[in-house]
Amino acid sequence: MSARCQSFVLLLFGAALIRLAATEALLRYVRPVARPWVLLAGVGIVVLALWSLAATRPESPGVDQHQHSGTSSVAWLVIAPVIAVVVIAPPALGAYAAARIPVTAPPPSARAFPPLRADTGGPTRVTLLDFYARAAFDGGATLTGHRVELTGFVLRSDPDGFRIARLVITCCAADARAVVVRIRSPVAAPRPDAWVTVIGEYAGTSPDDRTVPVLRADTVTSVSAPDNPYD
Amino acid sequence: MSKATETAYRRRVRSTDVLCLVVLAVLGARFAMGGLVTAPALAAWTTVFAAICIQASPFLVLGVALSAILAELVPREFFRRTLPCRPSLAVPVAGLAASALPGCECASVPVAASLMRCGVARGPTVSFLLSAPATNPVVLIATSVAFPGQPIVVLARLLASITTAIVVGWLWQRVGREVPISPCVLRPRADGAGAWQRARLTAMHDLAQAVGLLVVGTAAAATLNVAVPRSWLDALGGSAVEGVAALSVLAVVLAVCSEADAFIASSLSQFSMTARLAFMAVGPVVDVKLVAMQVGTFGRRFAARLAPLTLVVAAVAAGTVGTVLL
Repeated sequence: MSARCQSFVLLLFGAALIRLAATEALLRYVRPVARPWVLLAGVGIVVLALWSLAATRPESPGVDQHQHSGTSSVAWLVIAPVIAVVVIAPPALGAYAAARIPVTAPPPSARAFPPLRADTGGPTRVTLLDFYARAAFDGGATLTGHRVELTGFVLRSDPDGFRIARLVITCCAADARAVVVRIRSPVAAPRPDAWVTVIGEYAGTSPDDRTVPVLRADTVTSVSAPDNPYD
Repeated sequence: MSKATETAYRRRVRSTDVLCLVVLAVLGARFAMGGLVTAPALAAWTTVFAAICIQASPFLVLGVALSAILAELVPREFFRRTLPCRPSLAVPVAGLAASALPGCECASVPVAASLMRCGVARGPTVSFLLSAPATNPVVLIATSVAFPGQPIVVLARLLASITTAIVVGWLWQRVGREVPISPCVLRPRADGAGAWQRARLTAMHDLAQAVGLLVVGTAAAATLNVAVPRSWLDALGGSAVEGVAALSVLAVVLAVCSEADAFIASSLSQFSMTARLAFMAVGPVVDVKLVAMQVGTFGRRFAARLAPLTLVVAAVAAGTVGTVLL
């Protein structure tokens, strides 16, 4: 691969990173904290590539002229992530991934769970991770007596309702872990991957899996997917 | 025009032409098949693949920039003068000094290559290569967050990793003598140009190389992430030795960034604490992506000898430290 070609390929890669960092699509792959770093990386690569394009005369031989051809051909693969995010542009991980990865969540960072803040009138909005942690590590003591509101995507249907899940990522989507809550509800299960908000009360843990808490729901509403699909 | 330049000219035209075709094909595909990838497995694979590439890119840029600056702008004598002359002493010094450099394993390979380029001996270089991604403050903080209330895990991880780096460094100083290193590492670059131009050339070469090889490792990791049945992992809970062996192998094939592996380890609760320590000790020093990068940077024979040696030492070190401390 010639020096100019290498510069073009890296330019495409850098531009793809900048474009991602400028949109909400970035949150399908990494956490929001990564945004400035991805932007910085994209800008760094674009600056380096443009500098190289400016410095390389069209008739000059490639930088790799004196190297084994094997070491430079691997640079073609730089196009692969560009194709992945620009052409394929996959959705965030959902029910397919959540069904495959171990249903575990990190142990709670706090020693004691503070009481849920009761919103005046309406239900208390709780993240799936918080709901799971309060049920798994505290026996659900701080959940009883509250009407809680959970938002997640549908994992699969159950005889008496369905399960919703949320993926928790630490660094990027590759280390996602699933948090699952079983919803007991008379409403027919929405299709897998559909986002729902459910309101109801904590009802112990699932008989088939003690790590899965149960919510007895009285309201199930379809919602659109949140900007940040991960917890 | 001489024969050689003519060939070079032809080659340049060809690769740029290929690039144009690729870009056209990509644009065409964007219109033809936008949204066509609906198979959930393929979509999940692509998401995981892209996620690792994106997450790693800032570290790669940082590592490559540091590497280019170390290699071309810092006087070559600096490292030789800073490190003790005797390799047996320089190995632990390099291993401990590496703890100060934040970055994951992707960054440590090009930086280690530039150390070698600066004339640092092979033992200390390997010690640096193995220590930097495993013992830096970012990794240790991540570990303490992943194992709340268990600072002993952080200490065990630090001890296991620094022991691995120093022991392999010493061994490599002895056994690494006959191992040939890829000429790219030792070759002086683009003579005659100014220091900044040389730094730019080094950075361009290393970046294209590192991203390309990251793609290979990431594709493997994404395949394992999406294609290995969950029941296999559950079946491996087993005994202490089996657990250490299983999680060492898992660390090699999953190729998770060292700044994220503590969280995976903390979630692998079917395994013993010592087995999970092995996962965190092996992952930053040997994994499929790292070996691919080492092959590209140092040569095939270097990686073929260093990787098994490191794997064994890291697993044994983790087993020993884990048995004593955890």
